Amino acid sequence: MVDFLKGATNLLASPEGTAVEGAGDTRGLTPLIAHSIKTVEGVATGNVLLAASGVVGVAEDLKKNPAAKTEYPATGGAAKTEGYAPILPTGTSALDPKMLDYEDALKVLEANFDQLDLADGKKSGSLSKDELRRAAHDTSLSPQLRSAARFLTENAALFERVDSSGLLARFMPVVGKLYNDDRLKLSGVRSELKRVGEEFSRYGRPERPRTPKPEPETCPPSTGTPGTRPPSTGGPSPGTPSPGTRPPTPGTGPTPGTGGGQGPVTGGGKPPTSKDPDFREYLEAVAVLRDNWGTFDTAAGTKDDRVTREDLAALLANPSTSSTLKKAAQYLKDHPEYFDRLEMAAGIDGRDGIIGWLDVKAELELSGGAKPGTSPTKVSSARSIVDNPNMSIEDKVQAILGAISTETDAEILQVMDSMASAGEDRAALGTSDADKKKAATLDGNMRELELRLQRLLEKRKSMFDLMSNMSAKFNEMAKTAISNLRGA
Amino acid sequence: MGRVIKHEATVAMRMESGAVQRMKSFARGEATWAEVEGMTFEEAKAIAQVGCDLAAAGRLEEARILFEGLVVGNPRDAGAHAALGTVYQKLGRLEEAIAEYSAALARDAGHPVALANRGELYLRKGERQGFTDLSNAVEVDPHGETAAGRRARALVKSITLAAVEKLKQDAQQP
Repeated sequence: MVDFLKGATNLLASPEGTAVEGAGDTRGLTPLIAHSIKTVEGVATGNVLLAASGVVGVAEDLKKNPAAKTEYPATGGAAKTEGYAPILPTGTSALDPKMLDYEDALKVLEANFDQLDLADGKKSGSLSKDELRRAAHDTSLSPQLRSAARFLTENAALFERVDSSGLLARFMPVVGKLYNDDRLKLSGVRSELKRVGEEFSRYGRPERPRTPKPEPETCPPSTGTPGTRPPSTGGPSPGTPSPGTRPPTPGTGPTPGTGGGQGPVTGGGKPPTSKDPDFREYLEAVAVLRDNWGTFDTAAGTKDDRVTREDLAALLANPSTSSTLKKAAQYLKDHPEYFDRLEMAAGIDGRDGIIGWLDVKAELELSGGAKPGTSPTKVSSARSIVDNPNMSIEDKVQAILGAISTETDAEILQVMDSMASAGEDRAALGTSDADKKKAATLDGNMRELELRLQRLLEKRKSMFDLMSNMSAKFNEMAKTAISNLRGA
Repeated sequence: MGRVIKHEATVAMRMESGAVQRMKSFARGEATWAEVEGMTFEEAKAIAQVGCDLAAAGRLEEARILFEGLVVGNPRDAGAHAALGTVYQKLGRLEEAIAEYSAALARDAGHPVALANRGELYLRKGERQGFTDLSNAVEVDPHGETAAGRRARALVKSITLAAVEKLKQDAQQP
């Protein structure tokens, strides 16, 4: 097998190849050769075992690694990739850039599916092309929702793609034909979104073309806070709107706000989606409505188990209404798109201007709304504290107690504000019979507020005591642990 | 390579002009056919792996076709040249094998597979250059990461052992 080695040996041992040991240095031979030479010298001095094992080892190595084994080593660095196409960087994709708009449209559609579904007053669980077409021109809807609907109606091929998309369609194309009924279902939209995401990860995310695009109809962000309505386009005055009237909605023109006013557009200007920054406030308002359903229901004078715009207006006009209730009522009044959403949440009777108890319940269930007494921010902040890996248990407990005491402080301040306003109202009353009646009501409210304030202060005190106790206990525990370590 | 290309007018124009540019640079000898085709190194590696498996299974003709294709696609790939050289060597086409090893070493002077196998072939032919190649192969692959590197190490060791023994015997003879 290794006959050629004899020749090679002769080559090395030939007159011009003498003094191999020196050659190890002078001819650039590897240290391995020098080492082998030394081994041979060891053999010459009588170490027979070493010599035998060395020879056997070499023979085994040669057997294990046959000549001309075909291999393609993966190492070699950048030089290896020379002459090959580079891997596509992010943003370079073979996919149509329109797929980005498609993805956006699907996301908007998914988030607002129920709202669109209820647009015709019935909840059918699917959207037809006609419904989408109507939504594309419905000025009461947000621009994003309208453009998403428009995108899908204008791109028939993509509409068909969502239309035939479903749970089993990807695995059995024949099933896709069954789904293809010219109606979009939420499951189809979700399945298609997933598919688009997979295509992006496979072929790369396309970049939007840099050609200047005409600005889509946009609404400037509202700077108003609930309770203070921003001026509306073309409105008579930038002050408070007349109660019970729907604010003017913007036209379909690309340049809103070119009328008399400079203020932002409200009404249809905000997308009622879970991605809307106002959505949290909306959920809070709905939660307040649920917790004070009776008060809202009877605000206009009659108990009919329904809340209308008149109820909201009456509640706002009532000076004895608490600021929390006023805030919620004002929010629903200022955001007609959310009022519409709420009144159609349960899918009963369509858009009739009446919020039923079932609507409130359905909306909170659908939106994962707040449980009584817990706002999303509270839950998230507590969770962020609990999930924080950099905090010790002691720190976490202290932080949670701190957060709770902060909330108690805020509540105390709120109660004190209410007491102050009630005191002012009481001072402004005269001596007539009606005023006396009002004064009695205010006195009753005041007593309630005082009791509430007392309870809050006690709660705050017990919170501080608890924090102090916890701190002392942890301190004691740490001391014990340290003394144990010292003793060990 | 089974790509899905979906595009519209402007994008299509941009992509088309990119392909034309690549063709032009191929014609000028600046780009390889692999670049024109858009073949990445990962894809080439996958093809080479199939070639290696075929060669290990004794299906040398098929392996030869694959590696010749890789070499044509990217003549700058030293690994593909060396792998083709091993296939030629097994097929008994020794001159072509040496040519491929030399081509590989022209692109990558420290390619262990090309060095080890060319060294062995040179030694078979009785050329001293073979030993230098083998010792270089050991140097570039000191930990024996490639089969060729491990073989080169064993060969160098055995040659050195035998050579020193012979020298010793010669010295003892009067």
